[in-house]
Formats: sequence, C-alpha cells, structure tokens
Amino acid sequence: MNSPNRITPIIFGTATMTLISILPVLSFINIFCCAGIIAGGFVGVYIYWKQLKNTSFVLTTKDGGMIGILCGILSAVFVTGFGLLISLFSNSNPMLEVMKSFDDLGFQIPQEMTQYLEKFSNEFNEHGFSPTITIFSFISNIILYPLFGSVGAILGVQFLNKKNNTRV
Amino acid sequence: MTKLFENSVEDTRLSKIVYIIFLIFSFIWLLMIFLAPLFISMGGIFEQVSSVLYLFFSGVCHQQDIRSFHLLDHKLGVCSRCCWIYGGFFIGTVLYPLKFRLNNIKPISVWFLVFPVIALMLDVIFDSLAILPNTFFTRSVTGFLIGIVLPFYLIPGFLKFFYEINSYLRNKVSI
Repeated sequence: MNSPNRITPIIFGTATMTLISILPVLSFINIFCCAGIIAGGFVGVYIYWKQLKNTSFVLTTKDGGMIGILCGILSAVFVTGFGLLISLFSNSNPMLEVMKSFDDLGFQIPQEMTQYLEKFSNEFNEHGFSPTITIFSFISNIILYPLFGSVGAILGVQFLNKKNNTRV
Repeated sequence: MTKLFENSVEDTRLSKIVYIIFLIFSFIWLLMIFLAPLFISMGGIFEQVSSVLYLFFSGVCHQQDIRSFHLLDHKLGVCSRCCWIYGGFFIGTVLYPLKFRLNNIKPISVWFLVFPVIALMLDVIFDSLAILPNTFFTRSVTGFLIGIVLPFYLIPGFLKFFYEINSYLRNKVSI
C-alpha cells in the first residue's frame, strides 16, 4: 500500500504561507517572528496527518519536516513572484512614496539611505521594478521561508504525535 | 526519556552535530542582531553590510524604533520582544544538555509552550485594545519565555528529522 501523496498538504501549507504573506492585514502576523510561515508549515503537516488517520501509516518527522521545507521553498517563489508582478503592473514607484512618507513624518533620512532610495527609484523608473530589491528579497525569502516552515512543521509533528499517543 | 533507537556511535555523532548546528546557528543569528547597529556606526563598507542585515530582519520583525533596544544610538536588528525571543532561544540551547541527553527525541510537555504563547498573546491583545499598554519589561519577559522553551521542542524534533533522513538515505544506499 502506497502512503498518501504529499501534494495536497504541500498545496495547503504553501497557500497558507503565501496568503498570510501577501494579504494586507494578515501579513502583520509575520512580524511576530514569521508566525504566518510557521502556521503554514503546521497547516501542511496537519493536512497530512488527517490523510494518514485512516491508514496504517504514521506521521514521521522526516515527512513533516520535508513538507514544511517544500512549502517554504514554493511560498518563497510565489511571494517574490507576486511582489514582482505587482511592481510590474502597478506602474508606480514605491520608493518615491517611501521618501514622501518620510518627508511627511519629518524624518531626517541619512545621506547614504537617500542614495540607496534614489538608486532603487531609478531602477523602478527604468524597468518597472527593482532588480536589486527583487533579487535580495528572493534570497532572503528562500532562507527564511523554508527555515520557519520547517520549524512550524516539526512543532506540528511533535504536537500531533503527542495527541496520537495520548489517544492510545 | 526516549533515546534514539540504537544509540550507536553514528547516532551519538549525529545528535552532537545537530546540537552544535543549533548552537552555532542561534549564536550567529543573535550576533547578526547586534552587529547591525554596530556596523552602521562604523561607516564605510560596514554600513552597507548593516543595511543588508536590517533589510534581512525586516522580513521577520517590524523593527519599530520606539519598541527596540538601542546600541550606540542605533536600534538593534529586531524589536525588544524578538531580541529576547532569539536571546532566550540561544540560552535555552545552551541549557539543553543540562536537562536532557543530546540524543533525546522526546519533547517536553506542550503546556510549557502553551502558557508563554498565551502570555504573549494577552500582552499583545491588551496593548492593541489599550486596556494595558505593554512595556519593554512585559515584551522582554513574554518573548524570553517563548524563546527559552522552543529549543526543548525543536532540538528533539530536528534530531528525529535528521535521524530519519539519515536512515532513509542509508537504506537507499544499501539497496
């Protein structure tokens, strides 16, 4: 007998991570040490655990961890891609908005930071998006998402297996 | 206390490696938080490294100036709560071998994590509803409590994860 496929849990986990990261109000959850990404890893493992319920298979940490890591990798790609698409189609320059909001709030921007903002702003004007920001956010996401995704998944396996043990 | 299935030399070696990775990783993560303000005050190329560090941590934390500890007049890489979560995590990792053997794969009771999570949520909710504004002290304590208990779940979990991966690969190779 083959073990249940892991595509459905990965889809659910990835969808949870991605939606929490891109939706305006929900994305605030991620400021608590990437709680949204941890939740995504947990959701993926929970769905897999549900699938295993009526089978003879047990939830292993290897499968759970892998689900969390895969959800993280996919979500990092989707979140970066979504950000890129928004920049390309919105035809706006977020750097100008950042500089304007700093001015409105009366913040004194250091000269070095102004140079960076201007550099990114020129990239937005030239290409419709900033390659530097996109590449950096992808590198950052591809580290953070699988890392916190696996943390959520491993925690999920620990809790769900404990729940199983207490039931027995 | 549950130990790895065979307690062979290889399992003991694996558990040591996993623990050392945890220790080094949590130390580097904590160090990066403190290096961000240190580098910005050094100027030059260090300042650019500092902006990369701040940008990296911006994905993890709100980095509000008013809610952050400062070093050399610059805020740390993350807010006070996150700073104590990661600080607590490092301390918890250091303390872990005092309580458990490195090859332990059984986590502590779930309640040890549930209570700090409830305390942190109450701290956030009361502050958001303006019932009881949180302070540096409450943010630090609630963050530290979560941080210090997390290694007691994650080290056994990741150890089991790597053990299973290792035996899976060993079986594949032997076939």
